[in-house]
Amino acid sequence: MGPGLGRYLDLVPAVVEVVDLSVRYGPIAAVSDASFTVEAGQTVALIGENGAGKTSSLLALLGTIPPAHGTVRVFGQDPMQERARLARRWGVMPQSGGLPMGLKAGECVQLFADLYGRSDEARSVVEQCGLAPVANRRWRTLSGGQQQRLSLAVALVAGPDLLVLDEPTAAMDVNGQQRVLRLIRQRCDDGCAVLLTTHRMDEVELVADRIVVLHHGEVRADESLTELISTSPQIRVRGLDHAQLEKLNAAVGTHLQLVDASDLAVGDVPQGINPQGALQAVLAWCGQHQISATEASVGRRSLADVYQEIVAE
Amino acid sequence: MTSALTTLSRAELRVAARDGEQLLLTGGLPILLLILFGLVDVLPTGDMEPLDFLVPGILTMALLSSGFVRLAIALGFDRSFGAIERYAVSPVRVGDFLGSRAVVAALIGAVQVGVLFAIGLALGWRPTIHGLLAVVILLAMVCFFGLGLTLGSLAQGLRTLALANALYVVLLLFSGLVFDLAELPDVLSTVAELLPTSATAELLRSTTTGEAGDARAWLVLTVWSAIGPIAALRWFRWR
Repeated sequence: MGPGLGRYLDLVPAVVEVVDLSVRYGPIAAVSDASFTVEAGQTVALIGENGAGKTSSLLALLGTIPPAHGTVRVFGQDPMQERARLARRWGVMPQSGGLPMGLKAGECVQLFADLYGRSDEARSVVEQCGLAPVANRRWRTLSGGQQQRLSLAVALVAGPDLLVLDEPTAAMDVNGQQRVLRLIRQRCDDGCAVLLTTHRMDEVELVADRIVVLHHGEVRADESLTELISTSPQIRVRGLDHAQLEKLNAAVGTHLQLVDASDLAVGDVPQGINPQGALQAVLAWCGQHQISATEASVGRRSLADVYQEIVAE
Repeated sequence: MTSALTTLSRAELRVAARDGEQLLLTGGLPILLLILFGLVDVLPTGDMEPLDFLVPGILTMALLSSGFVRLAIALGFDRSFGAIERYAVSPVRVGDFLGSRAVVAALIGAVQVGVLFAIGLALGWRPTIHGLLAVVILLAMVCFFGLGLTLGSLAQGLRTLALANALYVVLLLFSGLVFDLAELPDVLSTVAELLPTSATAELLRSTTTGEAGDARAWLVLTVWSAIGPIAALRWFRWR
């Protein structure tokens, strides 16, 4: 990248820019000094346990709850002041996913298509989301997964530059999940910025360009998937206690540590050592000391492993 | 491009037309009571012709049910089921949202008045219309609309349902529809006369018997028709 282009990119504001955001509900701090950005054409996943502050962060950037501290900018503007104007550029899938009672699925999509001035788009979005067969059914009679796809359709029909999706696949079957992830990826490839929350690590690995880990309202990590997941292989051993692990590490040169409260120990393969050779050394040590490891393997770390390590710190 | 107000009003009208329970409350019940009490003379009508007493009372009931009860319950449930949260993050403005509810409430109110007038006439009612009748109906609609939206903003779901129905019964009971308010103890009678339903019923009776109506009742209804929308705007919230 030339210096001219770099300067140009610095001048273009991020689609979402959250700086030192704090959200409070009375005495309870839901979000504390959180900072992250979402760029155009980027999918950012906010992950964290229930109550970690994911939804509160989304609500603050959508201008529906005021920040107690910090700044939120969407397309360079304050969503608390410019909500109605900004709403023309974002499509939102709220966690509750509610729609007006009594309307049919197709009518719901058409209603919001009309409100966004995109009346002609309703039919194609209904088809993209696989809702054509149920378009004439009242939305309350749809299954949980269908209601979620309907909620996504309402978000997509806005033709948004920013998609904000709060647990978009929570109640979906595998086919529904794949369809939704494909649609998210397509929109992202078309230049749309996507910010989603989820508990499903598999889909984060599939769609997210960046991952923001929230824990007790604080940002614990904000990195790309490749940065977050070490490319170096790891050894995983199950069935050893803390004292046994210390002796094993001293003897073999590994750095195995117990994960959280489980009996699973993981650690990077020491540099310069063949991964399979390291595993053989671990198994040999266990054999010598008559310790039966219930699981022993070598492989790449999963996002779930990394997430657990981050929140356990 | 269709305006947001028109789009929302169309959707709200669809929702209203498909809500069987509310149709029964706003349409079926007043019609049933009008026909029943129009045929069976049991109400304490005093010196008045029974239908001169009955029809304005039923009109009050109908406007209260379509304006206050239906709106409060619909808004409470929309909030419980997340529809308001959805509108909150859409380009919909508060004015368009409340406006669409007002348009549909006014449409339903107008149909109710027309149907009840027609049934009353069929039953032998012979009103002498005063020019201020339209103003009474308009003020009552505005008042009940505002109070309904206020309740729907302050409570949610089943709580709205319970409160709206409880208030509906109280407001009707003390409207002079069921018994003569003068028979109540002085304090209760004074309080009842300050309710929007009693003022509406009294003014509807006056303006359908050729009179302009009592100044006190006009004052009560005018004040309530100002309080209703102001309270609705004050307490309406997207979350």
